[in-house]
Amino acid sequence: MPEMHAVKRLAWEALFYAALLLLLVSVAFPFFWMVKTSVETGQGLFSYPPHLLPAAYSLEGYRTVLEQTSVGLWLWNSVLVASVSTILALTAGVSGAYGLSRFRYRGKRMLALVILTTQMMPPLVLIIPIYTIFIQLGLTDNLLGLILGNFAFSLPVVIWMMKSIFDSIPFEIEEAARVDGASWLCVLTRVTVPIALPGLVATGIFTFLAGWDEFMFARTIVTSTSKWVGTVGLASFIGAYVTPWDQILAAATIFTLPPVLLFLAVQKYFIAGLGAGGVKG
Amino acid sequence: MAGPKIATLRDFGNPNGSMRRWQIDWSTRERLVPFFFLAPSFLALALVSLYPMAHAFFISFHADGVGAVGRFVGFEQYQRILSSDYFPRVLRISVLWTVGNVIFVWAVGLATALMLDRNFPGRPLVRAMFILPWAMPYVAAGLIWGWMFDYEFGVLNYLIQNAGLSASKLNFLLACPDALTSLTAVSVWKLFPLGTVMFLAGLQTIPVDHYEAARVDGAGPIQCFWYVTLPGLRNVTIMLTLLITIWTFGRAFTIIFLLTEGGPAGCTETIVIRSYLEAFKFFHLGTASAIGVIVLLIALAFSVAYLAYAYRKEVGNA
Repeated sequence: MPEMHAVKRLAWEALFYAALLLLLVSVAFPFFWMVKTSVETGQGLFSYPPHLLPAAYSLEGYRTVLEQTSVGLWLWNSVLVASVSTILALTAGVSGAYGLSRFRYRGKRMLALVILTTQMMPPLVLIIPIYTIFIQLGLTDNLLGLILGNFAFSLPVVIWMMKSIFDSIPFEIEEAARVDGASWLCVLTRVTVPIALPGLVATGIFTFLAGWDEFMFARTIVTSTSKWVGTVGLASFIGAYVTPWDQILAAATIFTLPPVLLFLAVQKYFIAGLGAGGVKG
Repeated sequence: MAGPKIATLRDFGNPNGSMRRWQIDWSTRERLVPFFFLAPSFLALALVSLYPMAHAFFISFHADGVGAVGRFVGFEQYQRILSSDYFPRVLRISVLWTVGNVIFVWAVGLATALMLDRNFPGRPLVRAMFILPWAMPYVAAGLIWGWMFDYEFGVLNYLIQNAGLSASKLNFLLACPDALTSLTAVSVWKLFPLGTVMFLAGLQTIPVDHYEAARVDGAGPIQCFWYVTLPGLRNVTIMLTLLITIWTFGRAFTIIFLLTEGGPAGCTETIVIRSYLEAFKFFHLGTASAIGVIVLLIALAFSVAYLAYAYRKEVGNA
């Protein structure tokens, strides 16, 4: 019965699009609600039932939060901490991953295992001792301390991700360069890294986002408001006497924008890199 | 650096002869190369990761000093924690939280990946949107969800009541089993894109002729899914489960800390939250470190057991 078949097919299609729409709405709604609340004026904000679209638009929340708090400074601190720790972790991690991926020597599996273990470590096990060590070194309340901490958290991840990327590059390509007389370091920087560039970009973004997002360590180490990073600054809005949701979510929107734009700009590399890493394991 | 670095093709044919200019002979040099590459990473790891970890063990064998490490007490901290009232409770909450996260990240990740695997208009846009929650910082996610959960003005209660799902308002974060459910929802919303991306990549590795063979044997879509797709995603499932378990059991902090701080009545207090509060609210560094070490040991034991189990099954099937 071809007609039955067509109806069944149509029903499946309808079901598919309905499910897709439902999922899309649940995924996108918090983003929408964040931006919507951030441009709502004070009166419409605290009304129940809430307006699904703002009754009146205003950028007052953004203006207030930028003028009366140090959001700009906190964002700058976040940029500094996340990018410097990313650069450090990539520099050390790429070289380490290459050493783990390319050569044959005794104890290689053991070394890889040590790195995997450090990657699995609950951050608390690092944060408590680093906190006591930093107190002795005078690195608390210092952006340098934050950079070092984030570097520590991301280095094993970088090594692990880059190792799986290097593993997937056939050695023959490098061998040609070696035979032509290039040193190993030259092979790595001139041949292997350019091939691995998409994966390197994905790893870099991954590391940057982790640093941008890091909260537990930053909250613990840094106390003076001038050294807060975005996460700590944002969290400080919670529990204020009257919660000014338009300002809070204006700040949250500003803070969400850089990672989202960054992600959208490189999502193709990112998905490929992350997916390949996961499948290869 | 002594000697020229450039070796010619001729040198490779005759390593002993023409390498004489180098102070270390060729084969020793070649053997040292990997350690040259590994040195920066290992130095850094030793300083910022392995040494602190050892220090954590050291602290955990000492009493809770005020602002400093107390006297040596051996395993006393561990004994005290393991026999305490709170430990079984926080462990149970951590396990519930972890299992909830793993199941839902797996299911939603798989469902979204299967949807994105077929062609439809606007697919690249939809894919980008599905992955967007992953890019939102946890603190921002905590804030927006906290506002949507708000009892008085929150939009979720409004939507749920309007859809006729509940007559009265829900206490998303203020009532007891509900708070953990709400937090799990936020966490899954943030984490499922990882599942989507990994499953999408996994789906590409299943050969098309496996599906064709199944269809020739008379399999319908459900049988195809059960006998071809799911087994084909076995490796991804293993990796994803391991990752999400380790992350949610040993790391998840920001969302819980921001939205409930372990409350109400301690029913969202995971083992990680407990350890953090011990350390930085009560300054019991010894206790906190010992809890941290326990978390590490549980995570390690689970990973080893899980991988051994997954691997054994694989050998058995082959």
